[in-house]
Amino acid sequence: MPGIYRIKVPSPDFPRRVKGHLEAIGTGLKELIVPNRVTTQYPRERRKLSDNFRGMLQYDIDKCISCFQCAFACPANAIVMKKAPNGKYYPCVNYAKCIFCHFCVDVCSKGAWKASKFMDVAFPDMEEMLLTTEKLLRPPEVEREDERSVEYEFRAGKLIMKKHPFEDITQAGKD
Amino acid sequence: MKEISVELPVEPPVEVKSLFLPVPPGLMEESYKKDELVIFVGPQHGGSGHMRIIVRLKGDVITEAIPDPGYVHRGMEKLAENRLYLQNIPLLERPAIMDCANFNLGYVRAIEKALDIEVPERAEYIRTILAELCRIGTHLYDAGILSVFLGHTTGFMWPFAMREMICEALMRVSGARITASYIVPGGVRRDVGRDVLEYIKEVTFFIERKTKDFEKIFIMNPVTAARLKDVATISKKDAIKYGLVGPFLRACGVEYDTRAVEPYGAYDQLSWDVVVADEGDSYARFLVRVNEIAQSISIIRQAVSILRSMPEGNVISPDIAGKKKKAKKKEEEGEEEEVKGPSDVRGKLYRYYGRLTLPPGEYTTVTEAARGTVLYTIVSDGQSTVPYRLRVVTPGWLYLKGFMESLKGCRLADLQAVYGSFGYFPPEADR
Amino acid sequence: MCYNELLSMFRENLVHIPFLTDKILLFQYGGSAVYGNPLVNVFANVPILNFILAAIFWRPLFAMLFIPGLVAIMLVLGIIIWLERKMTAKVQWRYGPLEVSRPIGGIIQPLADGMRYLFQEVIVHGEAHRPYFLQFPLISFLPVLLPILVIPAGAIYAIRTPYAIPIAIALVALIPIVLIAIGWASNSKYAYIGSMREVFMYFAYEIAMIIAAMAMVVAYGSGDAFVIVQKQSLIPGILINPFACLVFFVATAMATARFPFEIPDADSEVVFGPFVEYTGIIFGVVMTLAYEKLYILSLLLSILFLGGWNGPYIVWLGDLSPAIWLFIKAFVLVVIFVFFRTVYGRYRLDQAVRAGWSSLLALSFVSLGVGVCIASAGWF
Repeated sequence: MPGIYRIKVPSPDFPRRVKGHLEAIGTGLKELIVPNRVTTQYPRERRKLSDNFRGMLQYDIDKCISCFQCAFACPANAIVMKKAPNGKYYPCVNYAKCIFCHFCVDVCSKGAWKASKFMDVAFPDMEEMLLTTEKLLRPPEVEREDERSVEYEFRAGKLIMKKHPFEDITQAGKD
Repeated sequence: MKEISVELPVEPPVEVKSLFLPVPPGLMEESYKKDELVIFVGPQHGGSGHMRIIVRLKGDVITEAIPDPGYVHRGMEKLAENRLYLQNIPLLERPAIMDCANFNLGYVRAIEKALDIEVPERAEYIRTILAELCRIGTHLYDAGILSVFLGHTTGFMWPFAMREMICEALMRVSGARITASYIVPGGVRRDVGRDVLEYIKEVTFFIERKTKDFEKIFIMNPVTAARLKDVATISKKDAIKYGLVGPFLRACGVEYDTRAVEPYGAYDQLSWDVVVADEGDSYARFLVRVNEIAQSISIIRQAVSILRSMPEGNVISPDIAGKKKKAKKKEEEGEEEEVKGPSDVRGKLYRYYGRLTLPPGEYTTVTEAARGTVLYTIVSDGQSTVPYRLRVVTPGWLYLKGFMESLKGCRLADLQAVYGSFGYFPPEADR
Repeated sequence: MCYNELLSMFRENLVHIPFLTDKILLFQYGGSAVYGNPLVNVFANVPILNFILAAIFWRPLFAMLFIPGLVAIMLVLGIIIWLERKMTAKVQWRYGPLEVSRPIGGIIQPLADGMRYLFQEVIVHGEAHRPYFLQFPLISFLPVLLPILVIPAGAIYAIRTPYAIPIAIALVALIPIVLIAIGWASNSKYAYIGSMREVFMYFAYEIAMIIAAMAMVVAYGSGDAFVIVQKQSLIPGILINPFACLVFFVATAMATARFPFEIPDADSEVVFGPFVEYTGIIFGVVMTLAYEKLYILSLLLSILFLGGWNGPYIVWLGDLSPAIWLFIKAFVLVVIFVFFRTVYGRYRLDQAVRAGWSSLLALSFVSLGVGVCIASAGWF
């Protein structure tokens, strides 16, 4: 059973006000002299993404058994099944609708869907955002300016921005 | 002072009629004739969210504040009626940006209540960690908004940078930075590794250390205290009357926290305090939430150390995974073994939840989200895979009345301070 | 002829800057030294150019145009807007403007901003009082530049008068009138509220500020900046009358709408108050107004309390040396005012007005008392 913690709201009397002003200015000066930057200079650097990151989808047609489950489970109706010339149905993904919940990845019992670490993608227009099965299979065009990736690490409560060399993001590590 | 009224032949502009303002008839005409000023704060104002507050001013003092919410109404309740129970998870965690786990948890708990299943202990602790991370994130977010409303830009940037670490933690746990969709009926989607737990623990130390600096530059800053102290004070009686919730109710001296009254998750197994203040002014509302961050940090640390000593795996209820049935069969055959749930939902999500139907009835859960009580009611007809009716009452909607009432008698400059002290978040209230 | 008379008048009162107006020692070889002709003398016989050069280097005009006048103001504006953003960013765990010129830390960012403002459409909304709406931002330069006439920078000065400090403060006090007029010409509710706030703030700080300045004038026994600075050659005024300095400092923050008194143009409350309707280059002009006022008041602050242009004399700078010392002192003050943006939020209007009428006013009377005591004790 949790206890009750009753806080006292401080009333700013004169000495406390003076102390408050001095402390505020002191903290500001401290940060001015020894800056603690947390910014990642995207696109020159890129945040290191965790291995289970939910980025754009990768599709493996060989594993797909056309079970329709991904299309059925998709909360945003982003996955549509279309009939291919060979008579089977394969998924198309509409990235205008996709919310990257990756239910499709978790639904697929054969492992045909996989995650990649691409998250900053651009499409020329709305029609292009519907990726047909052929486009899904084609490797995406990648243009990258970043030279290194940054990982947040902590040591004794202090932030260390660890710099890693160029990172391959086509494959998410989980599987 | 004696007031002199002059009948002036002034009419409000014609355009006012076409705005369909939710104001009592004659208010505009009346205020135009008097020495009053009606100004619209929002929805495109730097100091309002996606909502309009119609403020009636007498000099610099607010005599009436009428909310005009609904600019970000998405019809979540109706949308939910056309989706599978599983598909509603990403939908219903979207009202509040940072508070996804709490909103997700409330909905999932309603389903669990209907199915009457128990959640594995490990999953409960992971859920608690996630909910508290989101609580810290939301409180930091609100602190940032409050400080930028007070013109303190450093106080805006620092909490957002701290929140970034929480986003990172959410990403390492679930794969997404804000909308985790991580909690599913009967457990969580996958187990949390040791390194991620370590990271979460380190984040709590980071936030604790940085909050001390933040306290010096913003929280205990005399300017902040001057702006928030004795502004928009709500008495304990009024707070109950207006139906305030969450930290704003507790700031008025009411010792009510859903986590303590109806414990869920792992809250009853951890030691923590309900933060209460007596003053009921804006500063108390802010400080209560600042102190709740410290409480959340303590909860997370306890949960992490318990999780570390727990065997890995078993994060989804065996009931959901269909293992109970098998076990029963085996039990009948004479073999007895401990039933363990799976550690990952991968590949089986559809099998577990795709054709989920709830027994007929009405299931309600109350959850303590960061900004207060969030209520979910699922009405099921017992046959369909979608809810017959889903009711969501978000904290923002509940404390809107108290927010507007507390504005009366404040000055115009206080509007933003009070707004920030309530952390009012229109998408959350509008659903 | 008028031309020659003017030329000789200019030449009689030229600014003395050794490396521009004196002969320069190029090199020395054995006993003989070779001097280079100074820059001004090169053009001494070119008809029109010599007139222009003489006019520019004529003391009063030099003060108005270069230091502490227009060029110095532009320099402050160009640096301080960048420095403000950079300092704020540093405290806020960010980098600040960087993309425009990465190798030099984005220092030309104000230039880029200026370009953007310059080519942005200037919208005059339907309900504005069009002529006033457009001309007030330009008129606002008058009260900003006029105080320069009486604020000397060492040997560079336009007008020397025993009433320099009172005149300067009176001229600075004109700026709020322009702001209020801007708010009126905008004819918008937020602009109206903003300019009303400006009016209230004006009354809150102005009296205390004038009394504090007068306290120092009484203490020094003269309103002449030369006398004031000369009397501070041993001890700066801040040590003699710290109360007056505090009052003047706080009043300056209030007058220039710096934090924590950024009340008239509070962006989250009244969306830049009087300037809410301005766009394009006119917004750029009104936005710099507060910085210009801040610079002028910092000049006054450093003359009254920080020993003005007292400082080691640099020979090759000549007359520029004290002017640069004054500029540096004023600039440091501007930086301090700007730094408060990172530390403070803003007070409420009634709190600021209450502070102005109670503690600030009381403190200013105390400082006046101290000033009278000093004057009667004859410490100077």
